[in-house]
Order: sequence, then structure tokens, then C-alpha cells
Amino acid sequence: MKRLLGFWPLLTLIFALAFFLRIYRVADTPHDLYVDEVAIGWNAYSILKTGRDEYGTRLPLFFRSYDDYKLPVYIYATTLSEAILGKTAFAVRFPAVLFGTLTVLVFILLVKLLTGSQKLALLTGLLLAISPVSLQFTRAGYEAGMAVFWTVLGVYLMLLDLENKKKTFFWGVTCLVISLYTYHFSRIVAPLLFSGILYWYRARLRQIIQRKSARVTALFLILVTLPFIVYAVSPGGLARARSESFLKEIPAHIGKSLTTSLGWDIDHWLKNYLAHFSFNFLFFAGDGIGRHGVREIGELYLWQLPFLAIGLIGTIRRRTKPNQLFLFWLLVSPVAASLATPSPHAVRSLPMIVPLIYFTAAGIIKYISFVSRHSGKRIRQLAESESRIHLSAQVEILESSSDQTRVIFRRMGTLTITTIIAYFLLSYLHIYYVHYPNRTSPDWSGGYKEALDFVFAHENQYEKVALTRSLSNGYAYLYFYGQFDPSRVNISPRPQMGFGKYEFVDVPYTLPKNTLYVAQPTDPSSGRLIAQIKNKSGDVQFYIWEN
Amino acid sequence: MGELGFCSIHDIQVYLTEQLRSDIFVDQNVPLLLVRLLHNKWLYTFGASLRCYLSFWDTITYSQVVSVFLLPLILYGLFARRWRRFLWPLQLVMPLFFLFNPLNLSLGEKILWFRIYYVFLALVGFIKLVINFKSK
Repeated sequence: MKRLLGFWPLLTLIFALAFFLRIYRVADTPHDLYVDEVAIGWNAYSILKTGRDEYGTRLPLFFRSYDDYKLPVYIYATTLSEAILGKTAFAVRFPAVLFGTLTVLVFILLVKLLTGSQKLALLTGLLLAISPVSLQFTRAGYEAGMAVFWTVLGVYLMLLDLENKKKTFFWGVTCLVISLYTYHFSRIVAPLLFSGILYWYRARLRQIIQRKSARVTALFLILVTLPFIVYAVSPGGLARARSESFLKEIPAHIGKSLTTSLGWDIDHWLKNYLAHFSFNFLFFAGDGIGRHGVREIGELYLWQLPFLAIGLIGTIRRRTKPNQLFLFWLLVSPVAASLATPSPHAVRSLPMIVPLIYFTAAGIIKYISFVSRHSGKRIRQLAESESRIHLSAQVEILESSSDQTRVIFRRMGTLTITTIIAYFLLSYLHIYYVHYPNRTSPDWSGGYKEALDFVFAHENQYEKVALTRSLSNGYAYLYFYGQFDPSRVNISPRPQMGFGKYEFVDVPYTLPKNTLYVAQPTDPSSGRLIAQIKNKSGDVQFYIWEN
Repeated sequence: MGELGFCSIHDIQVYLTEQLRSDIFVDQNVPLLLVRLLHNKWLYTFGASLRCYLSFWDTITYSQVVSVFLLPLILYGLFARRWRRFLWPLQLVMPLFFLFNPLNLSLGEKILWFRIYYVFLALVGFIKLVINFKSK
């Protein structure tokens, strides 16, 4: 039995649980691919078939997509996934599932390395495996979940060298560089974490720099980071930063000069930053965006609140290296998110989950040890008071029962916490699989696939298929769900406006003869209504007309 | 919950009714026992009350009506060694004052009292800072 409860068997169990929770019904819950997922899926498919993206650029480092210049790592991972699994929703989400599960594994190893405590490491892994926010972003095609994986792995490999001299420092830095090419928050979080680690281990760093391979590796890293820096200051990169920046919200009366707006900027940034530590955001409702959470639960479970508080107070009191590192991690994680709008934002502040889970686990360990220690102390006090009245036989019994009581209390504490965790997990899974699809169907583009499936089944009866302009931003839906050859689509003059008999049209639209028209309920139309497509919430998403 | 995060007992009651009604709609095909286990008035009341209570400690509620630049002083004040035994009970009771609203305050008046309370804490922090600075 003891062998079964050892570190590696338990780690395997947690890994299996994490994988199961992420892979189970991943293709249909969340029930449709959202607009970025289909863009990733279509670009990955295009790369797989032609070696070029949807704009015909050969193996691009930055994907233009909807002019938002997506970062490449997730898309190339999806290319591999689609090569094996085909152009399906499952293939688009599988990289997120895989890397989300691997994050749990690496996180356990990181905590074990830093604290030396197997219990704490396994508990952090378990909590990350069942964390609502982690599940949310590793069950859909979000690059953010993968970026967290590269960040955690990078920190782990760097610390493995700094703590245990395993010569993995530069592999760690490479992982942080990969995270820069995975999601935007890493532009800020990765350099800050890197600087923090360099500061804490500055004494050991000198030895690493003196290694023979250090200069070559450093040169390599600079070279691979260079394209990213060039991108970041390019018009495309700056446009992306400007479009998301909170600075665009400066009221007109403040003015745009530095002197007049500086106070407003700092005030606004601080408000955005503090919003990420809001109780409402962390424990009750998340950021309110339907794709970012189930809305009925925040980033963390409510039961985590007291343990998080205990863990944080313990950290402030006991400033060990791991405590300081995770506190620093917690403080820098929302920096990127607070520079953008809206705020708080669950995706952009996703690295926060790592320290929050660590502090919760530390709080639980502290609580259980407090309960068992306190109960043992009470028995001992009783024994001492009995000894004063010379009842030696009872004293012996009480003293020997002190240890037993401590074990019993520890087990009771563990059982209570296990029951609470299981209850909240059950509650979350119920909300995720039953409530969530019904309540947030429009957020996941509910009805798009069904509408297109209807069109593909009937297209042969018509000369032309017109799609409302509201679908044109999601032109990738058409190509992803249909049987289109990327080599033919991508060479057409404007595939974003339509291809072959398909055309995206403005409203109001006069329906020509022999045409099938997919319109929104608000779009006026003539012709004959032949179908209405509902999303999972039961609302009509599209009307399909013919003439 | 509550306008600008200024939650009251009434908000909790409204939330409970709305939430339970909306759950009935989505939980139609779920076994009754499971539904009762996961969604019941006790649990929802506890969750909603806690959410309401904590909204007065919430960074978003705070930053909407009090200057964020005062926050370091407020924290410094709350952890002042001599006064924290008075300030923490006050901090714990403060949300109840707004929740139960015994003086029947309007939203504007609540905001004003909320501001006064936090400016008072900031003042305590400032005094502590000055005392510490002088003693050094």
C-alpha cells in the first residue's frame, strides 16, 4: 500500500486525472470552435497542405490571420496534430490538452525541486489538474495555456541548473524564448521572471556564464529572439499593441500629451492591475467573458479562499526562496494584462494560476499540520494537568494517545479537505457540461457549424451561396468546416470575401435567382425561408433563405 | 452584485431567485438528487452572502470610489502594530454596515461613507508612517 502511495505512482495518477479531465468530450464541449480556433485550424491545415498560410506566405513566423498577427507555436503544433488527426475540432484542441496536462507534470517537478516537499508538490499538481481556469484554457485552442507550459518548463530547467547544477540553464532560457512566440503576455512576464531568477541566483550565475558553451548558446538565443523584437516594433506588432492598449481609452478632456495624461495613465494602470486581485474575479465570476470561464465560478474555487489566505500570510512571514519566487511570479503575472483593456482579463493573466495554486497548496499543508499539532498539544496539556494530581497510569495512557490523536486529526483534516475538493469539482463539472453550453452558446459561435453543414448538404441545388457579412470575419469557418483545397483557396484574389460559388454579402441583400442565403435574424431578406438554425441556448442564430 | 459593488441584502435575495429559476431551466434532464445536492438555497445563500460581504473589500469596488494611490497607506495602517487590534474588527464589521444598511443610506451616501472610512484608514497609515519616520 505504501508503494502505491509513493511519489511516482501518485504523480502518474494525477497526470492521468489531468489528462482525462482535459480530453473527455473536448471536441464537443465547449461545443463549437470559436473564431480564433477556426483561424488556427485553417492556417495549420494550409501549412500542412501547401507550406503556406492563408495569405500565401511560406512558413511564416507571424500569421496575419484577421490582421491580428497570431504567434506561430500553437499553429505549428496544430499542423502536426492535424497531420495525424485530420482537420477536426479535436485536432485543433489537442495541443492545448497535451500541453495543459504536461504543465501539471512540470509544475509538480518545479515545486518538488524548490521546496523538497513531495506532499506539497503532489498537492499543487492535483490542484492545477482540477483548476477551473486551467481546464477552461486547456480544453480549447488557446495559445495562453501552452505559453504557461513553456514558462513553467523554462523556470524549472533554469532552476534545475541553478539549484542542482544539471546544465539545463540555457534550455530553460530557450523555453522562455519559445513562450515569447506562443502568447503575447510572455513579452512581459517572461523577461520579468527571467530577471527575477537572475537576481536571486546572481552568485551561482557567474559560474554558468564561465562555461565554455555559454557564449555560443547566448548568441543563439539572441538570434532567435531578434525576429520577435523586430516584430514587436514593426507596424503590425505595434498595431496589435495599440489596439489592445488601455491608453486608447484616454478621455478627450485629458489630452494626449505626456504631462497631462501621465497621472491618468498611472491611475488607470493601477486600477487595471488591482482588478486582477478582485475577489469577484478570482472566486465568483471570472472576467465575465463567456469564453473565459463558466461565469458561476471564478478563476479559483471558493474553498481555496481561506487556504490561499493562510498560504500568503505564511509566505509573508517566512521568506524562503520558493515563497519569494512565487510571490514575485504572482505580482508580475497581471502586469501584461493590466496594460490592455478590458481588465481584469483571464487569458492575459493566466500565469497567475501557478503561484495562486502554490499558495493554496501551501495553505492546506499548513492548515493540516496546524490541526494535528494543535490536537496533540491539547492532549499533552491534559496529560500535564493530570500529572499534577499524580495519576501516573492515566498520564502514560494520555501521552501515548497524544501521537495517535495527532494522526487521527491529521487524517480527519485530510478527509475533510478531500471531501470539499471532490464536492466542488463535481459542482464545477456539472456546471461545465450542463449549464455552460446552454448559457454561453453565442460566445462559442453556436450555430455556425450547423448552418454551414446545412449549406454543404444543399449547395448542389444552387448556383450561388451568399453568406451574411457577419460571417465574413469568420470566413475561416467556411474553409475549415468545408472540403476546400487550401492551394486553390489561397491563390484566389480575395479568399476573405468568398471563393467559388460562395460569397460574403452586405446587408440589405437582394436575393438573385437560384441562390441560397445564410442571414442573421436581424438581416432583412426576401425569398423563401427554408430553415432556421438555433444555437445551444435555443436562440435562432441564422435564417436560411432561397430564391 | 449590487450597483458599483455596493451590495445589500435585497441584492442577495434577487440573485437567489434569479439563479435558482435559471438553474431549473438548464437542469431539466439532470437527476433530481444531484440537482438538489449541487444547487440548494443554503449553498447559494452562503455563496451570495460571502460574495456580497467581500465586495466591500474588493479591489474593483475600492478603486472605483477611492484613489488607488491611497492603498499603500491603507495597508500600512491596517498592519500598524498598535492599532490593528481595533482596526481589524472595524474592517470586519464595516461590510455589515453597508449590507444591512440600518441608516437607510442611498447609493451616493454609501459611497461617501465608504470613502470616509478608507480615507480614515489611510490617515492612520500616514500617522504611523510619520511616527516611524520620526523614531528612526
